[in-house]
Amino acid sequence: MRRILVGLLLALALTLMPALPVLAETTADVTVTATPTYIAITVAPTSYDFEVVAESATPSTTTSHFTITNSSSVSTNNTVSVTTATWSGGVTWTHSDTATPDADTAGLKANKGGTWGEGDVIVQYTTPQVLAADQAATTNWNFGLKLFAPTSFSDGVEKSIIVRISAAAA
Amino acid sequence: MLKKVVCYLLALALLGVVGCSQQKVPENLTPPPAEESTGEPPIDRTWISPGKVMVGNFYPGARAEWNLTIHNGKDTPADFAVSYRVPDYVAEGFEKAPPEAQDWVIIADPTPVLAPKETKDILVFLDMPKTAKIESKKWEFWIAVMEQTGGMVVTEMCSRWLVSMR
Repeated sequence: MRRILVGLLLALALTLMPALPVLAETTADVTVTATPTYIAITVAPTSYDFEVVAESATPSTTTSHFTITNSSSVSTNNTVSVTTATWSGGVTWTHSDTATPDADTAGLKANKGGTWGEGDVIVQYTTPQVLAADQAATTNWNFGLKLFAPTSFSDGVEKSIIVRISAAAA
Repeated sequence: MLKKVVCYLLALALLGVVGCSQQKVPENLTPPPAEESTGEPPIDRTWISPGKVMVGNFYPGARAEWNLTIHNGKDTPADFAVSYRVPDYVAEGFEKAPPEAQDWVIIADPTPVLAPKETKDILVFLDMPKTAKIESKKWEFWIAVMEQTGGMVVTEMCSRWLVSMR
């Protein structure tokens, strides 16, 4: 009788022992998941030369000058910004985040395929602005740029700044 | 008496086994279905994947990692810059990651060079120190990929990381 009881207790202990570490495990392990989607945009052309500009001039491209080829598999939000706070070349220009020109201070606006003055987006350095919201997957779009030239220049050296279009899943 | 003891012990063992099997069921390990996916990515376009990474049950001292895939769709080699990025916007209920989060993100190869039509996985680690303190329960950061073209207008593709603390 005792042997049977000891045997059963041993069997019970052996049954539960492998389970103990499992019971001690946390059920809140870090989980990492991702959806099999991809983001794909390219731009063409990749530059535009405003050429010689006069003080306080506001030359612009057409609002469809730049084409974003969008092959993304999901809808995306697309923002526009400049990558530096100044325009390089000679005496640098300050980039105005309000598109308000001043002495050696220039600004930029963008427009997504519409009419200048309607729905223009100020191109900022500090805060990227949405230019194409909830853009449908695999749907191309266009935009243009307008320069707000400084009210006065310190030199005649060519200036440049990089405009960045960023796409992320909506 | 012996029968009662035997039955009691067997019932206990059975309950233990059943209970353990329920404990082993993992939570949230099934990826959600893809939305708007149109199949294989194009070989002749430059792309990144995935668009979103969800990290759940995260906590100070924990580590999460995921491969960011980059494809060079051009016929020429391409230089890329992969970097941590403050998000332009966040998902509903999420906040922008605190500034110190930038130090928690490690990109295995931040300046990959891809041959024509090459696809490469770049491992991204999120390694939060045990001593880190964070107010937000849900926060977001982005990993940005930008090709170094030298043009005046450039494009950037971003992978969103949405982190939920436990």
